[in-house]
Amino acid sequence: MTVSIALVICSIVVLVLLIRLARGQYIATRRGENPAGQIRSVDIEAFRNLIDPNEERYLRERLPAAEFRKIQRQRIRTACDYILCAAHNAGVLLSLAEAARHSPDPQVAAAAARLIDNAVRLRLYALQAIPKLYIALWLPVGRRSHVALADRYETMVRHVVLLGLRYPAGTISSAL
Amino acid sequence: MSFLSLFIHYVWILNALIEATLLWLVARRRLYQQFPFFVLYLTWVFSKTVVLLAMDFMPSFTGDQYFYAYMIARTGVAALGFGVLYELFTKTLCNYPALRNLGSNLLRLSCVILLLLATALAWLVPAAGTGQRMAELYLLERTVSILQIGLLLFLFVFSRYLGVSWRSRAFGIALGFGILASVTLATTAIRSQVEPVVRSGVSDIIDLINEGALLSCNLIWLGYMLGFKSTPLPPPRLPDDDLGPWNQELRRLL
Repeated sequence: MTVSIALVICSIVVLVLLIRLARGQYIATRRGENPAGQIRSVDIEAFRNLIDPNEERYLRERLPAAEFRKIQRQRIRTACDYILCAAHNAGVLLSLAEAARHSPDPQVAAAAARLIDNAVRLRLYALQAIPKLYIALWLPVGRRSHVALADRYETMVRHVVLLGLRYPAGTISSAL
Repeated sequence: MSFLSLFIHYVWILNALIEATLLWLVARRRLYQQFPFFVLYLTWVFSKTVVLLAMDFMPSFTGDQYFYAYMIARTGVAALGFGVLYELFTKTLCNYPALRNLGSNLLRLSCVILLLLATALAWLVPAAGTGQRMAELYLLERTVSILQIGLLLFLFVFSRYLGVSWRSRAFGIALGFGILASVTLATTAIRSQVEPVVRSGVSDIIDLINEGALLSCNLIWLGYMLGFKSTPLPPPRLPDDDLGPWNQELRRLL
């Protein structure tokens, strides 16, 4: 009977979750927020520096082991923050590109489709990269370069600019 | 017939009427081209409601006949429910080439995990209660509900994280389906443990909850089929120009 009660509680939680989701969807449809205001600043050069294996090697060679580990943890945490910001920005751009995808101009629609594809790939990459980086905080295994993420972010910004040439993307690419 | 039982029958008839309206609406709007599995599901649910209602009112049908008809009806509902879920999944992710392969791989993986979980639960907590035959049927329904809710939650969480936009009708279908599946899970979890041989007040209350859930689900579907069209969002109105980054991009290209 305990399992049955647990299942009943689970189903009530799911029900509440679904209702909240529906309410969120309804509010999101009605509310036209300015996407540029939601963009978080990402310094891509600083991010590249944080994930650069050469930089890591340089620090390891020059710093005492304990200090290197401490600094490296801080670097990884900062890199995670950058990735979270990049993923957040990709989500904002997705909503912008979704609206542009339905444009009657085929070039705008194509540019929006490319931006959507890039933004989705970036979010997927972030989903995989963050747990790996957190593991790398404590274990020296699985450390690998995340240069691809930085490249993808730059490609995404380029797509935003290209989309902005034909669509009212406003100040969004300067915010990125 | 008690007042509660009479009330359940009224809700049952109301459900049949709304289901008929829904079918007429989807046929009129040619939604069978967009959501073939959902239309099949609706047709099956409507036929099930009519047949079971008729069998319930006609004294010539025995309890055994009703049980087998109910079993066949619920099997069809469960099978077509999985079809609807698959349809929702493909409709939601079809516009995202980056997600097609990963999405279907993750769907398969979650299917396997949920199947293992539901089977383990069925094995650990088997059917109880004096009405053993019905309790076993409810146990099967409970297993199916766990699978369906799990898949639906996976779809919601996955699409929400990636920022995938839902077409409003697909969202309406998923919402109604989710509400129905979660109520079914709760009621079958109870009934698989306490199902009596002869109907009691508890059975009536649970039946009323089930019919009420089906009614709200039918109304949600009706609302989404009637009112919400999958119109694209209007472009955001943003001030200012974007000349700075354009120049930067041009410099990069030249």
